[in-house]
Amino acid sequence: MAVKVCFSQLSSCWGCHQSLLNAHLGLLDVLPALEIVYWPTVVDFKLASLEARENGEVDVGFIEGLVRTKQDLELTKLTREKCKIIIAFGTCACYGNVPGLANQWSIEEVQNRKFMEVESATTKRIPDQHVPGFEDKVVNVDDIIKVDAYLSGCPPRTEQIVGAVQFLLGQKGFPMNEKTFCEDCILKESGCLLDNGILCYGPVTSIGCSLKCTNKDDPCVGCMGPAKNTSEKVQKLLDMTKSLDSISSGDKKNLFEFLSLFLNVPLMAGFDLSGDILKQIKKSGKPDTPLTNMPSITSEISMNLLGFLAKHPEFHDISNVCQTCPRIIGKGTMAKVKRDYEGLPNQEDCFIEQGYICIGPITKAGCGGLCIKVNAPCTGCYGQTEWVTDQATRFYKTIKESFNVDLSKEEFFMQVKDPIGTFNKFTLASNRGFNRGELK
Amino acid sequence: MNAKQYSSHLLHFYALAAPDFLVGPFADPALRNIVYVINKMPDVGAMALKMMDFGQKLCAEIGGKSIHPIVAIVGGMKKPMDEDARQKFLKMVPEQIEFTKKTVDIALKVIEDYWDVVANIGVVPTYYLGMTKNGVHDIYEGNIRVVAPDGKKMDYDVHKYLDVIGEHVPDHSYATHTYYKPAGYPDGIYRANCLAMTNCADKMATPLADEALKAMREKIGNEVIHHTFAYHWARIIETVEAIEVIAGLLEDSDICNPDCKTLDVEPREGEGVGVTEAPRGLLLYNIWSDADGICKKLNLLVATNHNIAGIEKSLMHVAKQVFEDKALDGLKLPDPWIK
Ligand code: SF4
Ligand code: SF4
Ligand code: SF4
Ligand code: SF4
Repeated sequence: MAVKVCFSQLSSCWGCHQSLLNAHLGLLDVLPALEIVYWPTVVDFKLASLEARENGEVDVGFIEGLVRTKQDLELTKLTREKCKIIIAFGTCACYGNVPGLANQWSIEEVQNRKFMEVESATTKRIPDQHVPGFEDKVVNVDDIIKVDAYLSGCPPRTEQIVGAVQFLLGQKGFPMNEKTFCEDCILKESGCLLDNGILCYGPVTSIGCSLKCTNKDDPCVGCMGPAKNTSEKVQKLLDMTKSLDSISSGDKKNLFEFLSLFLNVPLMAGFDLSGDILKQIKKSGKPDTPLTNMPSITSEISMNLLGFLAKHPEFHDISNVCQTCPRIIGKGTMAKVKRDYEGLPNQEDCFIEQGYICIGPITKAGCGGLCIKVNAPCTGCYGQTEWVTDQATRFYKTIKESFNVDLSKEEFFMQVKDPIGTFNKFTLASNRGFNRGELK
Repeated sequence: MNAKQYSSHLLHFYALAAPDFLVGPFADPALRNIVYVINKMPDVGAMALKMMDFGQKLCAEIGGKSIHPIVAIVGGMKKPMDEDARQKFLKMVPEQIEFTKKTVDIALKVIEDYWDVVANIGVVPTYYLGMTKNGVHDIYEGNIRVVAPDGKKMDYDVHKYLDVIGEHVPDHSYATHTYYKPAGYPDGIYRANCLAMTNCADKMATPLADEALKAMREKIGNEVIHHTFAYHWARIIETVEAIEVIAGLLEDSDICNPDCKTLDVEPREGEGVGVTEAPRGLLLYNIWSDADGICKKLNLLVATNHNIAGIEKSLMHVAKQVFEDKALDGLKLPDPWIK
């Protein structure tokens, strides 16, 4: 049966949709499997037809854009109501993007500039008839509704969108068997890893895999997903997850694998099915996972692990643009911050070590370094690898540690003329605590 | 820019507009869309997709990204085109020119089939706003040109834009209505993009496109064309020019010259105005900078501004035709190509 898909557009430029259409001949592979129920400009269904659908009837809803108007707000809620899975589609929907920079000013100031003060205006008024009205600030989609997956990028690469669609189409879900892997484990009677102080996730994992990691004395890392029940060893596992601070490096590695396999935590080339877990943790202090219906003790264990992750974001190893960048590090030194108009960077060496600011080190990988390939530094459109409010300081710290930078913090910031636009161009609306000019 | 023009116009023609014509304007929306057209006319569909793909890939090759390209910089480009890429795209050009010719034939057949509609529905006299260089169609640079409803052409230096363009803030829309200031509002409402561009142009910049423009003028009229449905025709004429310009640029190895940033600039306090013609209309920037060269204030007049008043005006006109004058009743519609 075809998967029902809806594409909603809030305040945005339609570039994400264009990026999907850029699949061109590749569309022929995915489109027949989709039933498009709402896609303004491409298919002529009106909003009323979406409103008339049952709640939860649509399988996947892509939301492009940010919430600037009250109409955006209503459409966001409506799309959530009608769809099982919501994908924040593109950096506008994920983080507010460039229009989020307007949050430096009040809505009155913004409206004044646009409608009253602007040089070419001949009639001056704030439109107020049959218009939806503005939100005071640019709001993120996930401030209003639960977002299930984030697909960032301005726009996300075509391959990633098609990949996400194919992933959703092909996703079988976990089997959710009654029994746990412990039942199948050769160490059940003697030699249980948990008894030897090694984290093993068999007690919460569904039975039925063919690999059986414990046959080789490796712990179960949960790739079959949760079981409906837990084994009698679960208490031991729970206890161990309560005090994770001193775990061994092997346990850490396995914990990460468990999070990725069992809870879908890590990034998949920019497509984060679990939601952007780090951003959630930062915002609400506790993550929310897409897996529901788990036994409560399984949830408790998961939350303990995610809590550990919250305290150790460095451990949640999201790769950054530098990791996909072919430029050579270690040859030059940043002795002065150069601006775009100053000379032309060479195409071999790292921009930073040629003096140019490149946001690659703190930007989520996924684009494959599109800008770098045309000799333009990364400006951060895929979003931040880590959710700290002060991206500017974080950037300085990162480059000071990992690149040749011969500038003190004070010297560096003296030379950056537009800190908000440089370090928060795409994510200001997602970063709390910014007031106008705070970074100066 | 021409690569973008090419793919954008083809996207509009094949993906957004053609389904209405090929499946029929009153068909079920579930069928009246690009997906259905591709399924029913796989040859045309595949050709259309290959054309858009060419434009977008070329744009990405030069600009880094086909959407929001990042290679342009004050004073030039950050990187020239690679010679390998130039050769690769050059090899694809002959096929694209063939495809473009076929597209012209398809467009002509649509116009012919729907002639009754083209000639009678939405013929709305307005002003037109576009860009020309010495009177010749140009999307990169030139003067602002305004064409009056009676066909009179007026040229303005872009720095004088405040004398030419007024911005009426309507009470019912956040998209402001730009208009031709000397004529006042609403009399000075103009339309923008492809048909406005062909109305403005004395001639197209390339031979095949100029032939296509002559053909349109022969069929519809020599002075100024007010037929809203002729936008589709004008769009194809601009598409032809785009592929011809692309061919010319790719043939010139200077496009790979590493000396791609030719102007050295120093930041200073000041004000500047720039225009280009984007696929959907004039893109006008007026920027004020501080001594560091940081933008302190700007005024943007973009395609949405230039189009919205004209769209509202033509919509009102057509709504009246359809609902009050029952203009659709006597109209001759062809059998849909796709049933
Ligand atoms: S994320 Fe970028 S491409 Fe997508 S709608 Fe926003 S601005 Fe446009
Ligand atoms: S906890 Fe691990 S090692 Fe122990 S019985 Fe269960 S699966 Fe086997
Ligand atoms: S800072 Fe920029 S140029 Fe340097 S390695 Fe990272 S992405 Fe590449
Ligand atoms: S290099 Fe940076 S700015 Fe460019 S596409 Fe990638 S993430 Fe976006």
